[in-house]
Amino acid sequence: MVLETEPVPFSDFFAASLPYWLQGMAVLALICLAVGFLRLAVRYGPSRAFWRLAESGVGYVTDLLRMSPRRVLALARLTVQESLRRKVMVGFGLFLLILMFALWFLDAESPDPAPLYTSFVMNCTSRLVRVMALLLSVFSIPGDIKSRIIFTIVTKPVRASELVAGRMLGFVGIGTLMLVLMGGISYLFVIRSLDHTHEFEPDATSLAAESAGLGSKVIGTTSLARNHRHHVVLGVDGVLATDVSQGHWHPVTVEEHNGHKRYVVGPPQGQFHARVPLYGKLRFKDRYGGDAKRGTNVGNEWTYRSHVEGGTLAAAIWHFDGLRREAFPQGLPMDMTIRVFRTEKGDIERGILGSFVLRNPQTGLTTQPQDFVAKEYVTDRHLIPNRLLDSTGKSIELFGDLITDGQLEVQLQCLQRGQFFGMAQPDVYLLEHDGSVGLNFVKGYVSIWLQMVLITALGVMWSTFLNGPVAMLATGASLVAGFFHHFFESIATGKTPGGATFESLVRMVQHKNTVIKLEPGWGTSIVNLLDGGVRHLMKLITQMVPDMRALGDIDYVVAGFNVPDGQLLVQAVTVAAYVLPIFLLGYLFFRLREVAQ
Amino acid sequence: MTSNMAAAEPSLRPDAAAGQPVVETRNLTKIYRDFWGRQKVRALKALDLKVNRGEIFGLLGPNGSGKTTTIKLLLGLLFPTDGEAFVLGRKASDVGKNERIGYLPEETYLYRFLNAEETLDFYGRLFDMPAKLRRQRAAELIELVGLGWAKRRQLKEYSKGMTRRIGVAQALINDPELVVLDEPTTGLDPQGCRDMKDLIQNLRAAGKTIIMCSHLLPDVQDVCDRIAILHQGELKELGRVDSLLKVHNVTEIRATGLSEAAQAELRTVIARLGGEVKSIGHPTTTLEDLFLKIVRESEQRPGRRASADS
Amino acid sequence: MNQTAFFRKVVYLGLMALLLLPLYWLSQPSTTATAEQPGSPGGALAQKREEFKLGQASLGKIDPAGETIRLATLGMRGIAANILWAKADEYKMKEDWTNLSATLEQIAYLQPNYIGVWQFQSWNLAYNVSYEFDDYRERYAWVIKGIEFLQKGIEYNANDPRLMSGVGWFAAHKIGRSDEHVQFRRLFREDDDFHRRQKIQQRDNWLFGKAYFLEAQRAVELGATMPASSSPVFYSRPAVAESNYAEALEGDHREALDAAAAAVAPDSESAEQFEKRVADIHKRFRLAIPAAWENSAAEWHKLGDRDFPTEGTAPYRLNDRDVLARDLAAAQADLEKFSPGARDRIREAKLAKLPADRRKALDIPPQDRTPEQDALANLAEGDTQVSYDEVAQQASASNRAAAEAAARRAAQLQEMLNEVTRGRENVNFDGWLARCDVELTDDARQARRWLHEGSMDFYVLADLPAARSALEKSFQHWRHILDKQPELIVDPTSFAMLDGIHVYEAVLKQMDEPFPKKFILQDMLEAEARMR
Repeated sequence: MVLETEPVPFSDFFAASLPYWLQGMAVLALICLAVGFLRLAVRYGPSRAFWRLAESGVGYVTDLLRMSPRRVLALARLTVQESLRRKVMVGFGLFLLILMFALWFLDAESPDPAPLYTSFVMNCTSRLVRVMALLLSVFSIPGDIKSRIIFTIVTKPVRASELVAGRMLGFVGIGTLMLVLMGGISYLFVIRSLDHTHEFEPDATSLAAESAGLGSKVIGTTSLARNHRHHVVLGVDGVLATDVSQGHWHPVTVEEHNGHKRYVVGPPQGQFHARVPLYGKLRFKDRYGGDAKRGTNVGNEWTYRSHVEGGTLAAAIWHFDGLRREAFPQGLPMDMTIRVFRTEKGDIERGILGSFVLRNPQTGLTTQPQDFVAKEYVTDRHLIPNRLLDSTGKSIELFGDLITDGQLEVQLQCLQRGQFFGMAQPDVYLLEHDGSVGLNFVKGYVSIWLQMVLITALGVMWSTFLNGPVAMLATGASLVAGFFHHFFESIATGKTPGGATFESLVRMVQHKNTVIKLEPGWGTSIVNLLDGGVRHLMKLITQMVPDMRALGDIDYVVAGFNVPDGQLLVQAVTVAAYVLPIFLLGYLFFRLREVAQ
Repeated sequence: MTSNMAAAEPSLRPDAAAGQPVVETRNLTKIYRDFWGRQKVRALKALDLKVNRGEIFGLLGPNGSGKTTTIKLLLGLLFPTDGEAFVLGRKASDVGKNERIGYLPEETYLYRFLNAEETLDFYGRLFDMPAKLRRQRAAELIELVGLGWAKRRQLKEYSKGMTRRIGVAQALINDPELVVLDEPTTGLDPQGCRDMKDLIQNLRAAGKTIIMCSHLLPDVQDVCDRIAILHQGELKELGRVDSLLKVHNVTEIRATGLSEAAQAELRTVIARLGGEVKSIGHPTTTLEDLFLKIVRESEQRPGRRASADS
Repeated sequence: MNQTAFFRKVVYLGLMALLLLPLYWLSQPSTTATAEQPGSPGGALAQKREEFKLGQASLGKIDPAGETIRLATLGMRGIAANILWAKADEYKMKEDWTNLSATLEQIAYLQPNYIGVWQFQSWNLAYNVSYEFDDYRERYAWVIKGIEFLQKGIEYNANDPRLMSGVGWFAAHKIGRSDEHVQFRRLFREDDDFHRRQKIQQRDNWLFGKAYFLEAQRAVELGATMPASSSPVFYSRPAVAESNYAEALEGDHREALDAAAAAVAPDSESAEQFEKRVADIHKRFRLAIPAAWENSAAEWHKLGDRDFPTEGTAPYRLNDRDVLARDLAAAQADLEKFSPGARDRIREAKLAKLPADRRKALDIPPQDRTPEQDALANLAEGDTQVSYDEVAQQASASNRAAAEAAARRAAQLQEMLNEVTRGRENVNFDGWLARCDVELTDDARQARRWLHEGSMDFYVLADLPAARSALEKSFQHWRHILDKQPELIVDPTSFAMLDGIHVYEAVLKQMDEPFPKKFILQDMLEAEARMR
């Protein structure tokens, strides 16, 4: 799968972010204090204001420390009851409705339906849960205030902190409940819709082929189911199975029945994966064999992959570390996804040839090159055996000779002159093992859950001082900023073609495309000035608002890759780092609010 | 963490023994402002009040006179623009004071999707009461307000009177020292009013302090020990109900067995003393008369009239 | 204060009512006439809908999925489409083809009547995305995706000739003229999913495209706007497709023979059976190829007889060229009669007045001019143009009126002739017609026949002398043709004969004989070298 940014290990992330976060919190605290001081100073004069501020500051902190779990839970419980009685299950019904009709729109002829279905249910769930979290969280406190129920609550010994925390917790609770239900149903939906079997009735010639026992060969074709068929293959080891079609295969068993052979095709296998890859570090050699950070740029707008030129010394080299014999008892399964760029037509009917050699980075021992034909957009697996030949033809051990200290290099080259191979670091990896698919599914849902927690916290926070619809807009705007984080960032850094708000407005009105320069003049100066302001604003927003997309792990689950454990932790800590100040702000706003006003 | 014991046995609080007033306000002022910070209404002007332990204190005034504002300030629902309010020895803005307060708002604002038991249980939790105590208190209170037959029904099915009762029950869930009642008898039928007044009397008998505000004068007259009359945010009259209602420059003589002569003599004595007999006796005016008089005078001569506690 | 509030409310109400008026004017639904009352055309929107044939109901199909998506955007579908478009661009950049096609589908659902979207994005799929794949089978799949995308567009926009031409173009030219055309055509023929029930013999990309080109023409004749290209080009497309089909059949013939040869299993098939199979193939193509060329000629003649409207003057036909040329000559002769020699005199005078550099440029033969000189010479040509009217002005006073009439007529004819010539050049009318004529001659048939025999002898039977003599016979016939129509030599790349020459080279090489210095088709080889 495409990983444009390298996943950061938790410790690195934590070490890098903590000072930044503390700084942010300090700034926030300072802003709050400054605003509070100014407000008080206007009324009481600076010296009294100082003491009052100190006094209430102490009060605010002690209030926080005195939070009672029972009260928080009582409010959370109330929130769940309230949501349930407010027919929150309608959202759930909507989800079921969508699933019911989904089969109409999901492409049954897709060459690989499992990712399609998974992506559909997970995206549906996450969108629905997001909308629900938004709608639920913003209306509760304003509703209580509007109906004045808040009077009977805040005249009890309930602290503002408890009320805000209770609400947040309650909505997270109801969201969790929904998510668990939706996740369960989604899982069943995907499994059930993709479950199928085929009939297989071999004819005479295939039976003859089977009895002949001449190694791996196709002995027939199954019946059509879910728009595909399989070939039934008799393996070298005598095991019957189908080939892979629509991303899965079936085991085939033979049952003896009154001396009559009956072939039974089993359930689909290998539809889902949770690959745990071991990524290497990629570097390049240029066409003269010199070291290079990147390969050739063939003019793609997207610079994710870079290319090595065929028939030259150019090569891509992955350096793997941390290989252990116990983790790879059967040898190294190496997955490869290579892009091809042709500068001449060549033989259209044939793919481009490439080869790779393995090298011990410490001793320099290399294996004999292994040739392959590049296949695009599929995962091409090569199993590197435990015994292999070195470049002189001598037999060597994988672990011990080739891999020492757990390090190995894979050098990949394109063999045909004038043709190029394109690759990025995650395009070649060693497969450690296939993790638990169910657990991976759960991890994907946990990432949705984290998003939901953040949205809920935001919604409650805004609703502590805005009325329902306005809080909804504010939360919605925060989410837009969160989901379009990259876009905001590119505006802030001036990377968007055509300028920021005002420049693009001028361009639209004047029908100027994004490459024409605006004529210099006072008008353009004003526009640039205004856009400068917009950029600062955008920068501020991107620094305050979390990048919501970075919180989602659905892509991993859909692509069949294990969600890295560290990543989930990073995301959880990120969410916590946002939720804490959001909660504190909510508390502050609510405490400062005269609920009877 | 607050102690559960405190809610159950408020009389053990140290400040209770000190004999200081239950409620004290100093120069309490509230000005409502609009969005732009412009002054809109002066709802309360420099109110000084003291409410003593064990009394039933009535806040009187026409609509918009500042009664409810006062109560909201005392409860911390509003923040004073100026001055201070102390309740049970703590600042009105201190959440901790709520441990020992019961409040019945003007209209009963409760979650309509809960039933009576759930409601009381919920409020019990807010007092951090343990489950056993919650159950016990809820049962007692439901019994007290006579809703045992409807305790499993959602509040949205309740009539106004029933809602009012459950409102009273929630106000008493913590066995409060101070009970604040905002218009306690509105919307109740005569029997309901009677019950409410009995309840208030019983609460006092149990040693609780009660502050109530009302514009229903007979109720106040019936139950209150002391009253404060507010008009346009200003305190106009403050004192014991009986002394306030006594018309001191009028003597009412009622006697039996006086002959005509004796009466004539009395009249001459009075005439000699410069008086003029209309009828003999000390009448008490009604609270209504007093109230209307104050309002009338206040409208003619705005300004404070009563100040210190008398 | 209450009064102003009341007044404000009244004003709001009034404004609302006012806003309803244009709404009424815009969106009143149309009704069909019944016995009781005449139908009304409805509000402005309903009328526009009718005018542009956008009503879903008028297409005879209801589209719940699209309707739902459109409703769900709450009237902000323009914004939604924009966001999706940006997303589609990003998916394309990031090579996320699955999401790209899904997003395009959503855009199409959102704004199904936006022809530009269908055109742009189908091109994206069939050309740009297709090109990103290295495997020609994948490339083909994306060309088909582009075609299917357009076909879906046609479902929403009945009778849109732009979309129909698009399908025709992708099917005919993308599949038939790409580098991978051999593979593409084969895959197209074998694509059961795309053709569904159509018989395999009818699955030719050129004929498929031609059908869509004809469909587009029909739509234009029913009043739809013509796609942006000149009318002769637009109307020539079926003929071009038919000719290409005929040409492609020759390739198919060769391929079928290759396939037959490749399928020879040494023991399972007797030489006799093989011969029979080859004979069948020969028979099939020897009937089909001339038939295709005949169809093609018929299409070109039909095109020649079509009236093309012009602005101002009468409609013209491509077939009118000779008639027009004759009439023009006659008119010029008339004019010459009234003012003999005037044309040359005027031109001489103009030449004399030319600036020196232009004059000099004009005197250089065209092929030797530098680009600057060429530009100058063009200017000089313009300066020294002699109009018919100028010539007429030189006639004597008594003949002046008659001369002017002749000049007007000549000018008019000249203009039409120019138009016709331009039209013929634009569509390579003469080239294709000549080609059809040639391919239908007996010499061409014989040349083709011996070419195939020779290839078979060489590749399958490995009978070198037989191959050589067959090929030489073929070259003889071809020489005949070229002698009769030397203009065919200009672009020989499309002729099957070139392949024959390459086979001949291989034959001679195996026989260890040098390629003849004075080869019978030497001029053709030279032309080929020039073309490459």
